[in-house]
Amino acid sequence: MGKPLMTILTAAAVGVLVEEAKAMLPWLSDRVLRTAVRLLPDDRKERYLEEWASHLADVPGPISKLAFTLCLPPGALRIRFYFWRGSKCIKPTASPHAGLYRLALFMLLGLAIQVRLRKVVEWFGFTRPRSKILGIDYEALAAFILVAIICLCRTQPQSSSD
Amino acid sequence: MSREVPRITEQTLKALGALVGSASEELSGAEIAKKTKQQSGTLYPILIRLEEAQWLESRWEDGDPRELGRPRRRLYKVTALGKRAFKDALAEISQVLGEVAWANLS
Repeated sequence: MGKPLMTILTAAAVGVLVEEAKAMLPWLSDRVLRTAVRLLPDDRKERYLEEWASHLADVPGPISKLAFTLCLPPGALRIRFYFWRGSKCIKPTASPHAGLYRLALFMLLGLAIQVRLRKVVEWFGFTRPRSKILGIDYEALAAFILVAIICLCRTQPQSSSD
Repeated sequence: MSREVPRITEQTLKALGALVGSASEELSGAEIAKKTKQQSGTLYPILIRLEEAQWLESRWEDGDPRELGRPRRRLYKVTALGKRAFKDALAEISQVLGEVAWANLS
């Protein structure tokens, strides 16, 4: 007697929960879309709120709609990063020595990483003699060459005039 | 405002190809997503990069949202610069594929 009653009650509860979830999906999609828009740069928010809302309206089904909106926040972060990177890299390219500054910055970064790594290795109790070639620490030299290659291989912005 | 030349990735080519190969000149983000089977989080950053590089241009569809009964769509169109970049990329890819094919044959 108890088992059939439990089955009926469970089925009813699941049905209610499914209906509730279905009713909540559009609200949830809207919340996620608005959260994604908030992640965008200020001057893009209005445009993408409307554009993404129109895209959302074209997606069929509440679950697909939610899946669509869940992909938006990472995209919004990418868009934000793209504009942030653009605003950072347009200024240096205006200078004729921009490449040199960038190279120096990457070399310093490489040196810092190399020094930190050595400290970490020493902290764990591993010590080894520092190898040198012609009086130059080859690890530091390798780090410098590596960061120089990375720096030179980076895509340079083509135009800074506009 | 043009920035750097966009990286030609598979997704970029798909998005550009959808617009170049489309019968109608302008496509909305939803139509491009459907054609390329790309997720929104991938597609929109690509569209922004292409638009900033002036390979694409976009405009709001005509009509009032209240009359349409839904938000306006943003319509994307490939520019002459974008078409040329797409053709150049395709030519480069076919050249590489041709070289690989010749190397495998010989």
